[in-house]
Amino acid sequence: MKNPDPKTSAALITDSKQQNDSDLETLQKLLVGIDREQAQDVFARVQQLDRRSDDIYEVLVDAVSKLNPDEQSKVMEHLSSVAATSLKTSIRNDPDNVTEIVYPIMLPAIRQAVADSMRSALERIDNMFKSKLSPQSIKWRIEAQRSGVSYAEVLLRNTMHYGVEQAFLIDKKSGLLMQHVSALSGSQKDEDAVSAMFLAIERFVKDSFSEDDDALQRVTIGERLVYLAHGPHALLACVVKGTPPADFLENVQSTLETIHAAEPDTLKEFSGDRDTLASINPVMSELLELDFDEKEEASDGFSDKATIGMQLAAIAGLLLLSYLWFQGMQGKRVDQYMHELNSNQHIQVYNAEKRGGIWELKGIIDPSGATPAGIAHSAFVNEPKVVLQLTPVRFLNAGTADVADSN
Amino acid sequence: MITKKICIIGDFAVGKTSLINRFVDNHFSEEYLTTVGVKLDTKELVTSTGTDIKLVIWDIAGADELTTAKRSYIDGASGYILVYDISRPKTLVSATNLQGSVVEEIGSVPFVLVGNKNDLEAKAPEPDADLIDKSCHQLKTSALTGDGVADVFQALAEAVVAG
Repeated sequence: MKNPDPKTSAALITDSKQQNDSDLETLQKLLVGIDREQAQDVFARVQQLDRRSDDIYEVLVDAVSKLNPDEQSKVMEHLSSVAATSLKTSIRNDPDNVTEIVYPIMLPAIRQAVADSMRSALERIDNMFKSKLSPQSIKWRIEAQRSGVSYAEVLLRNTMHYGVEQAFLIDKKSGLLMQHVSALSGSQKDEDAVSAMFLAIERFVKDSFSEDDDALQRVTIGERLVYLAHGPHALLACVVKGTPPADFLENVQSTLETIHAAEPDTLKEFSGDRDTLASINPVMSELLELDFDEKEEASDGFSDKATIGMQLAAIAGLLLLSYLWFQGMQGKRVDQYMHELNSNQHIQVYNAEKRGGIWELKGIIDPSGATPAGIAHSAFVNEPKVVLQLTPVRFLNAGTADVADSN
Repeated sequence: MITKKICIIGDFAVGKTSLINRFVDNHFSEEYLTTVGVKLDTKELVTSTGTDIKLVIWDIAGADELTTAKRSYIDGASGYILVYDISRPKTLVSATNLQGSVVEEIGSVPFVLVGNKNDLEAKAPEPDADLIDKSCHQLKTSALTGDGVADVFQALAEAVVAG
């Protein structure tokens, strides 16, 4: 018997094994094919990071949406420290980004706080001035009652005249002028150079005196004030002549917020072309109308002529009152004088009449008892406007007399 | 018309303010240089492509290095003029250092390298090739005679508009 070739045998065994494997695989597919595919899919999902992320996202969203209030508070408790740390890191890395986010929320709150503070200051001033009395204050008090505003507000309005001469919208980064409005006529200093100078001064002051993010808000130049409102991308500088009310900067800040809200991207990407911001010119022009001058007084019905007329009428009234008071006082003194004369038993005054500004007192006197000059001197000292006309008679007894002589 | 901010920087007494005074339309008092550390001037130009441009020129007080305040003045500039005095070699060294500081502050923007006081004997060597390569133009000027002054601003305006 011939021994089989070992190589041939091995080949036959291999073929047989492959056949068996193939059969076994077929059998496996028939028996557990679907489960196996699913298992492979599960393995793939676990091993592939992007598929795992997708799964977690779906599960997480679903789980969060199904949380009850107790579970929600537990989740928030665990996430809060992570969120706080994340926020801190974000602020530290890019503070401008956070400033931009909170700017629309924080500034109105700050303005509200400032407004409250100003209101309380006005109330204190109001109380202080309530104790004062002058013709002008009476007029303003009437105006306050008529218009329904506080007396302090009317007082400030009437004593603080001002006008906004120019307003500059300035790129916060470069100092380039974005928009400019002016109430002045005639030649002015180059507005582009002025705009840049405002930013230079602002930076100089900030670098020199402030280590924090404190910003320059007001500059006094003679009788003019420059108010600077600060936004994320722009400064708004208003040149004011006179003394504006305390809430003026608040108004300027509010205008700047409106501008930022209207054109956030154009402001951020400003490249020196002013035409791209032409739409905000009307908003800035409104700043030029923020004043309380003669025009406003006239619109309230108090023109200059009317005011002068009222003042003259008040003076005439006061003069009339003074005259009547003086006359009353003089009559009272004459009555008193007559009373004193009549208290003397040798004198009887029966008439007092005023002629040409001089009082004439008529009566009778008993020369044996008194002299008219002596009585006049003692009873009514230094009174040149009183003339005493007494007819000398001899009194027989009380109530009757004989005429002795004519004066 | 578009408006662009440019700066003029260089060591003490290299002639920056004299260059500007030779050229600008409007300028503030030079007292600002000693008080605030910067002076503002403007000049309107038309580029070769027909673009109307107004340059707002920040004349920054002379120094061999940029202080914090001066760094903030450079912020937002579209280009700058780097000036040295050809009769003082030290000012060229300062100009090279200043150029590095400006790049740190605002990145790479066009600049014109200017060797001023061309009317005097040149003692400073030619600038390094590296500095010349970085500049968009290299020019020699004399603020005293006015030679080449307008070309400096025109060249920078062209470079700034070209972006």
